[in-house]
Amino acid sequence: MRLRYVVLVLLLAMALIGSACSSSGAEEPAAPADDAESSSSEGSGDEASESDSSEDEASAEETSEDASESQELQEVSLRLDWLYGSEHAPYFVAQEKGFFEEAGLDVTIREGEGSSVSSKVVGAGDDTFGVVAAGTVLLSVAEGIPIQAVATVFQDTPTAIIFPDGADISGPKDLEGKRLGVLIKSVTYNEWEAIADIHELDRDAINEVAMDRGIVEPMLADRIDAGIAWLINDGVQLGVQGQETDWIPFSELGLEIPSSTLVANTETIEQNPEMVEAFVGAVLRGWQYTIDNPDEAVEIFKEYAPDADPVFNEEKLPLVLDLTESEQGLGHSNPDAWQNLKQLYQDSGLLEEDIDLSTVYTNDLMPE
Amino acid sequence: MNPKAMVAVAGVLVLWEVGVRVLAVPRYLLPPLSTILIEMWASRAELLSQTVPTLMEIGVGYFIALLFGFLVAIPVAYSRLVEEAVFPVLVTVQVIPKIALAPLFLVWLGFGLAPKIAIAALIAFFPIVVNTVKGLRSVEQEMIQWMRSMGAGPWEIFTKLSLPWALPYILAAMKVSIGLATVGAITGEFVGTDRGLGYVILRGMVNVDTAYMFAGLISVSILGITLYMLVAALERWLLSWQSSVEAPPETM
Repeated sequence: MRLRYVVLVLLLAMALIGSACSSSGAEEPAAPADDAESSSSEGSGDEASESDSSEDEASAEETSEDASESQELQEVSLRLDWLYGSEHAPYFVAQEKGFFEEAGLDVTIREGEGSSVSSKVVGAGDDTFGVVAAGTVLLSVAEGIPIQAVATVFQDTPTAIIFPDGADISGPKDLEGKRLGVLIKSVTYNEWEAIADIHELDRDAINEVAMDRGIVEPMLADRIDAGIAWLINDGVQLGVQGQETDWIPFSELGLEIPSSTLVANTETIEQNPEMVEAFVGAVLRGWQYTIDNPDEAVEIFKEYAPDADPVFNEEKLPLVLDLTESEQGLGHSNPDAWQNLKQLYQDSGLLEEDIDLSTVYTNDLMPE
Repeated sequence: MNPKAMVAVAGVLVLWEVGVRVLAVPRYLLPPLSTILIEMWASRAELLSQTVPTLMEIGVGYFIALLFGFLVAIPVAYSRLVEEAVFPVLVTVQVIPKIALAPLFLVWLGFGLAPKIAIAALIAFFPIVVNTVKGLRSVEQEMIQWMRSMGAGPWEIFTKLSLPWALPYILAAMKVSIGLATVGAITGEFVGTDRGLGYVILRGMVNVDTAYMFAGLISVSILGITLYMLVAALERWLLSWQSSVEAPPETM
């Protein structure tokens, strides 16, 4: 037993260090951009290329207009924050309407598994861009993950207290004594802790029940009285499932912080800022088009994500678009909101070190 | 642990600490061991309190696996009919990845300790059955006949001959199963929990607090190793009378 144990420990330690070293040392985070740069002088046709993502239906297609351009399309990828939802419609719109192409980009759009995964994936250079919640960006940068937010998509957080219509809940205090579903793997849990703090709730008096993927089923099954989740997802979904639902957004409870952002690897930004700016520009065009033509955007979404629930996604789009409203301009990162976020996370102990917000987000890559 | 093993382990830990610093491995990939240990000390109250629910899940799951493993193994060992009927079912259950069943258990059994206990028990169960059957069947027929000729009844043969004979096999499986029960409990926690060491690891991951995540990981490892050593000690104690007999084959 002893020898086996020692050998096992040795192997494990070597595997640990070996994998950590290989991830950090040699890999080029900006690989896609670099490859594209160097191949533009060669005649290699990389447009209409089958990307390696098997779930990809969103690969850009060559049009005759591009054949006349000497510029090859740069291959980049975008890792979403979750499974396809209509909050991702603008990216498909940018694809379909050729905005990415006009920006010189061949974009592969990939479904995600949460902000903390997208942040690490972009940090490791496996995807060029990612959709990551602002709170997660903040914590990631503090931890040393090399990413930066280049645009803020949701100016407000969609997190809300969600409950069946008619329930005796008019404010967070009313949650005391009730069963509350919380998504512990989600950034919404951090936001919940902040709200509990701000409103001085007695958390021992609230029966918090940890959920994994969402609060919809437990609420329909009456296992919880209320839940903390995104109103644009779980909130709308409950309505679609036939349950009259109401919600109190955290943004109305004093939590004025940003939510989803677009991030890029810092090395990509350093080595290829024009490409990043072009990408942001194309994405913002996609968002603006979606705001101006929501019905068409929904149709494009259904085409690119045939497995997604069409009714649910159509229902939630207006609420999604509300979140992007900004006085400073679409996609702009609002310094006050980000400062609020940093303050909040510091107060709750999530963020231990002081961090310079200019390393966390930037407005420098916005189109003119 | 003998001195050689201690030196080897110490060597690995030093290699980790030095290697990570010399090679400038980023903190979010692999923090230095010292950072993790400091974090573990700082969070010791939290880690200790979170060990309790995980330990309970492992313990109860393990006990259920032992009990049912044993109860199922006896008829399977002594009846070809039962074996042929039951074994394919057992193998099928064993082969289904429990992590795929975990979300189902959550729906059936709720969000408390129950689904984790169920998964732990389910994973730990199979080696107990297999080894107990093998152990009981490996008894020399001549010894059984000899005891019968001396007037021993089936119960006496079972408790005084077969069971002690099978003990090395059973204990070998018990050592494997305690590790599996630990894996099962953590798997269950990963799918849905608000407490336990799996929860600690999850929070570390979501909060991008790599040191905290590793603190949870190392705590689980320590827990698993401790439990294994307890079972190994039990084995040594129970089998101390066997020192004169050749060691039986182990499943590990």
